[in-house]
Amino acid sequence: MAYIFSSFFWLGISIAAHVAINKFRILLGISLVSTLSVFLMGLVGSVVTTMWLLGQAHAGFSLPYTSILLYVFCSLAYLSIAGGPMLGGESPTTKILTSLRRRGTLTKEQIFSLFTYDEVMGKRIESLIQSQWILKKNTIYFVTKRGKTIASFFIAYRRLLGLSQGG
Amino acid sequence: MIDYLLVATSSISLFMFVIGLIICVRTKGQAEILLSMKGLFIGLLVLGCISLWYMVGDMRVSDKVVVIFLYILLFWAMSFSYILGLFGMPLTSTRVQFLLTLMAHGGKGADIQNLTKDYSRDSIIGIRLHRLITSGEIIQKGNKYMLKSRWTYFVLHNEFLLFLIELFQPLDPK
Repeated sequence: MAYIFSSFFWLGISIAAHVAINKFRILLGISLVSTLSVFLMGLVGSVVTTMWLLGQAHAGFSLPYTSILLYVFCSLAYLSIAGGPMLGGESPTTKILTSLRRRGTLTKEQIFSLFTYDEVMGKRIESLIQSQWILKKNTIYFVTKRGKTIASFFIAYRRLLGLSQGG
Repeated sequence: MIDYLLVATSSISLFMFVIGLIICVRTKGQAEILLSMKGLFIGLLVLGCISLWYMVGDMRVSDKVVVIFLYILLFWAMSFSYILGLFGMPLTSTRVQFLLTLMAHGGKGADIQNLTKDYSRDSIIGIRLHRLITSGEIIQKGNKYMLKSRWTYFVLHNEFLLFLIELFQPLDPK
């Protein structure tokens, strides 16, 4: 079990460091993407500890691959969960569920009135510009090179799922 | 040996989960996907646990329980990161929809009217309401909507997201 404990030790350290760095990232001038590097450092720490454990005599199962996979996928699960909140703001689904939980019953009109145009559309377009997936020249929006690469992946993936190209 | 078994069982479960979800979306459509996802995940989890229980061979029951626990943890982490990080994004994300719309306009770009013409506020919210009803998270009675239960996994996950939004709010000197 030493392997698993080492995995969770590094995962805990990485998450704590990530939350702390993210809290102060504006003050420190660090971009959102750069904060993710703590997980790469955590992975290096986890691999080094696993290799060290392989040379030690200890009780229990030897689980080097499981412990590294656990670190990788628990980090990815954490980032998948934290991704939306990190980008800022509630998703429409989150807001609907929160409002129903607080107020019990809502009519369709009351649910729709929870959302402004800017909240549903404006903030999302703004976040695409901030991520440098699109850019705005005067009043026209264009896809950037980075945006095209990401869009190509999504188009291929939607084809695999049997959906329209989208857009 | 146990290490290889755990990695192989979790990876095979994830592979079957991915293939199963693709088949579900292609045959049933997006509306019922949450329900299919739950069934597929629980089914594969049970199958994996039973397979591992017999594959590990002669072992103390307490050790078998540890192995099963590690499998559940690994498969959960794998499928969770796949669903939230990869699977759901091209299906539900409004940001991705805008990106694909702009991509369809080619090199000439689009203004705000063209970019958002297929997506009104009401259509975006309407799709999410429909998805929550078909997945059984909320109930519709006439024109009124309510939660099926205040304690479902989805509702609690939602509360956790609200906590994270507060937690990740960066300190701004302005």
